[in-house]
Amino acid sequence: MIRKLHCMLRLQSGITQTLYRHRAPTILTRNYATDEANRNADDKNGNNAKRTSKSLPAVRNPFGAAQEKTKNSYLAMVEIFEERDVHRRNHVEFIYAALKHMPDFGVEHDLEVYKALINVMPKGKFIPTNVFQSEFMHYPKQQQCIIDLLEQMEDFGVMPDYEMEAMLLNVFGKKGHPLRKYWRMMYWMPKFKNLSPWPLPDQVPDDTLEVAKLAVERMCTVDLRSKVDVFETKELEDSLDDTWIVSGMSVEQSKLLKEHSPQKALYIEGPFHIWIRNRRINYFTLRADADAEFLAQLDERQLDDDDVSQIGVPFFGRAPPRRHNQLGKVRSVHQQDDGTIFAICATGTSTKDSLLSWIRLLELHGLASFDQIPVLFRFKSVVPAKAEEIAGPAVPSSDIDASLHSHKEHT
Amino acid sequence: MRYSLLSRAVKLLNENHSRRGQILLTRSSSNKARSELNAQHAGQQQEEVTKAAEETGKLPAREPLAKNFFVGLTDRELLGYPEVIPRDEMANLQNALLPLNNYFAEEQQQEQETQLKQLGLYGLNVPTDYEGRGYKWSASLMASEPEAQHTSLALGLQTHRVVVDLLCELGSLEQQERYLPQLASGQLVASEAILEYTPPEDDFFATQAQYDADRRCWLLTGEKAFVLTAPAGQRQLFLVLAQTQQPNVPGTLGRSSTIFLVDSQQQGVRLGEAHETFGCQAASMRRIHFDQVQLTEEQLLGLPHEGNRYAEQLVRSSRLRGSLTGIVLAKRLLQQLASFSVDTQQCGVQLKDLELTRVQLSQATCSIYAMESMLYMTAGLLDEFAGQDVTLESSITKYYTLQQLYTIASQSLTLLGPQSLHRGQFWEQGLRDAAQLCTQGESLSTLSLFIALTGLQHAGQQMNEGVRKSRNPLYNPGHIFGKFLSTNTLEQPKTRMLLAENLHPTLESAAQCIEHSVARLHMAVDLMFTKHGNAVVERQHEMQRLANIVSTIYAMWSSVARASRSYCIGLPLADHEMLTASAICTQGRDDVLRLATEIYSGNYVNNDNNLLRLASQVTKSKGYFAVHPLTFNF
Repeated sequence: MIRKLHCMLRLQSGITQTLYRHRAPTILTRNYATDEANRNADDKNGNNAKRTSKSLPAVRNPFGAAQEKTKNSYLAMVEIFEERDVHRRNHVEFIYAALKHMPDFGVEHDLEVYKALINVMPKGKFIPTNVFQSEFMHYPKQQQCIIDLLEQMEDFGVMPDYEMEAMLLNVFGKKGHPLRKYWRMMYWMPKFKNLSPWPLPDQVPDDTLEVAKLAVERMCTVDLRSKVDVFETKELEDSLDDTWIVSGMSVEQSKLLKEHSPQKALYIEGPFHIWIRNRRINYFTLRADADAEFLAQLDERQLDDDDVSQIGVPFFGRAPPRRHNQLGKVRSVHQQDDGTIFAICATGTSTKDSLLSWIRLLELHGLASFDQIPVLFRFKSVVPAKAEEIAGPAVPSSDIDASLHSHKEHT
Repeated sequence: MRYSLLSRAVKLLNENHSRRGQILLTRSSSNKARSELNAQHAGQQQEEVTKAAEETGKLPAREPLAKNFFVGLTDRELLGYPEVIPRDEMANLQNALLPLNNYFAEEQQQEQETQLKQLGLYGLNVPTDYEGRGYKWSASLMASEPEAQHTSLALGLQTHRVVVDLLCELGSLEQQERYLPQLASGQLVASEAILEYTPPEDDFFATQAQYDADRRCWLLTGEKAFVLTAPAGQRQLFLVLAQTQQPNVPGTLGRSSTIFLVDSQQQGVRLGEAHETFGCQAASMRRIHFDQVQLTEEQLLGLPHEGNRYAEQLVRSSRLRGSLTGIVLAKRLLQQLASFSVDTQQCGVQLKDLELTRVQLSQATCSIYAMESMLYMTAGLLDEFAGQDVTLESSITKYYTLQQLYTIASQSLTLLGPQSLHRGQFWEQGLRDAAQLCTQGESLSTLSLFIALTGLQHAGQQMNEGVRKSRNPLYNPGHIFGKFLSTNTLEQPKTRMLLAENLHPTLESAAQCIEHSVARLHMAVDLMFTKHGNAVVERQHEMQRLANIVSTIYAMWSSVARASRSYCIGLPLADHEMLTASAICTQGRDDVLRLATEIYSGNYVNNDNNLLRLASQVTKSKGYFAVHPLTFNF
């Protein structure tokens, strides 16, 4: 009740006020937004409009006009609609409108809200009483409406529960099409729910740093010995940006970097994109061109598979040989054909300065040493505005080496 | 029998200086013709060996026994159990062992050190020229049986003897003169220092030695762990394996290891912390630190940078001597178990009458019988033939012994119940010691891989041609058709080894079991080569199966040989020995068939594929990955 009152007070102070029903008692007087306001809201959420592009009947839509877009106000509006009159006229249109505006209120992942919408439907009225009714979609408009609601749940990955089954049963009976849809959903959705090899926490954190950590951790699963560090550029005296750096590197990569010839340059490449749910994180790689000589050596060493006369036996409990390392090394997962990747990072600003800080911090924390090795920037896509600001306007945003001579003189 | 007959023949031949005769003896009758190159090489080798044999009074070496199992060959002659200690020497030996037996039966603990020295335990295997007893392999193993009643004590003596063995084999004359008399008297106690606490990721050892060309000496730096040390005040000699870099060979190719003899009283040698061990607590194991220890060239054993080549001799000795400790412990466990089951009554039934107890006791007996036969058979081969290759036999002996020892020690817990693990109880001590022995030196899984790889190495050299043909069927249709047409199956292999001819007729079915098992091993090896080529070294689970197969076969082989000898000369309870050998063979045949079938059916049928897939998830999740069984999903 408190929730409702609160919401009503808010609505009272709306800009444009139109009376919706003349016979509504004063306490239940509501102000619904004009269509103009609705249009504005539609423009803002172009995507949503496209998805639920069914032509809506000309019913005034309270959701577009609501000033406080929270779950509480949303539920209050649903409750008001329920209590408005016994017939609940236009409830299908109301549900469609409610569905459309869910993302505005940030409730599109909330099961409780969907249940509240289903609860708007009258109980018992739509239950078919004979075979023909049940097979020929009794009350098709209403059934289709709830099917669309379920469809939207599915699209947003909201899994129904058993209470919803009971509600649907009360509204449409056990032969109802929404219930069939529900059952199909309950078959597939649990199976897909945990299928991701890189599951995200149930509530993906909102903080960009946390999301960046998640992203780097996920990319680092390629090598189980990887370690993800979070650095603060504050640690360095001469860094311009004050930001964080999430850096992922493994022991193996440190070793590869140690063995890297100082004659060959290292490149910081990026930004590349990784999507964590609906958030995009830019990340950069520290890489060098593939060590063609070493890879060729490995190829050479792929001796004749058929020759079994040269099997080596290890000594003193040493690890038993693998085919390719009988003489030396195996190829690490970081040594790809198109380059060797030494580390990845995501920074708070994605600027050149923060990347330079990254290199220095790696050195500071003893993860790598870059003496003598030239480190070049190579920005592949649109450089963030700030990067241009720092590095000067001459930075080309193309595939060319960004600053061929910006190597270790900086540090 | 064979000993006297053949040695007389050798003498005759030697007198005549008949080259043909030598070759006649050295070529084993059951060998297939090899490729020309191999034959030439082998011929040269055998000439050398024959010369060595003449010098030491031993017979020329035969083809390796267990290695040849991998190629489906057997040496029937070796079914005669070796009698390497002549009758008169055996009587002397037994007389000499009397005081040892008495001493260890009485359990005197005070002034143990001096007692051990007086009993001459430190010099059992030192040659008589250097004031030792001069026992050979079999005799010195027999002589160390009494002391093995005290596992901790035996560990210390064992490592001492291993160093002595190596010194006798590799040491120069000066080194032998310098060290052996002191080692024999116990003034100097030797110990191996090979293992390290944290071995480096891609080197042999973290302990490094560098040659200083100006001062003509080596500088040793690093630390070794798990070194058995004598009580304080005792001078010690450490046999240290250190990593060295070959001069003029850069990088990983020049990486090698070298064996050094380091005196504990030298500058820079420091005893570190003691390890608190799980079992064998009376033996003190410590770390040893070497800080720029200067070593002269006389302290280098063998040639520099050849440590890996000598490693085989080193581990052979420690494997054999280690097995003996295990066998004696297993015997003691069985003895206690037997008397416990006789003495205990539960609900009016004696424990010994329960079928479960009886099966358990017999299984333990069978394994002990097999391990004992294997040990003395291997030692006998070493004593009888000059330069005989027993790499595989010695590692199998250790592998089988320790595996079975741990089984016996842990299975007795089920029989005894909770009282078995009371602190200070015999059983608790036995289990602890068994576990300790299992971790001593090399782990059992690496040992099993060593066994399989050694066998595959040998087999690969001999089967290379055939494998190449099988792997390229379209180029060699004849070879493949021949394979298709052969009626040899895993269940019913065709063999013509005629092993039964060299055994007592009662053991004919046992001999049949061995023949079939050897044939199955050969077929499994052939299949693995054909399937994987030289990637076979990555198939570790299959290799472990191979190791188990060949261990079982060698256990069957030596038990049958021993039982046949015992029965023919009528030793006490020889009929039960026959029964034991038959039991081992029957059990062994089934085990081998099961393992070979697993190899034959491939990784999709034998579950390997599932296990490997699971493992990658376990490492990804860094442990157990399944959620709680009562978790809800919605």
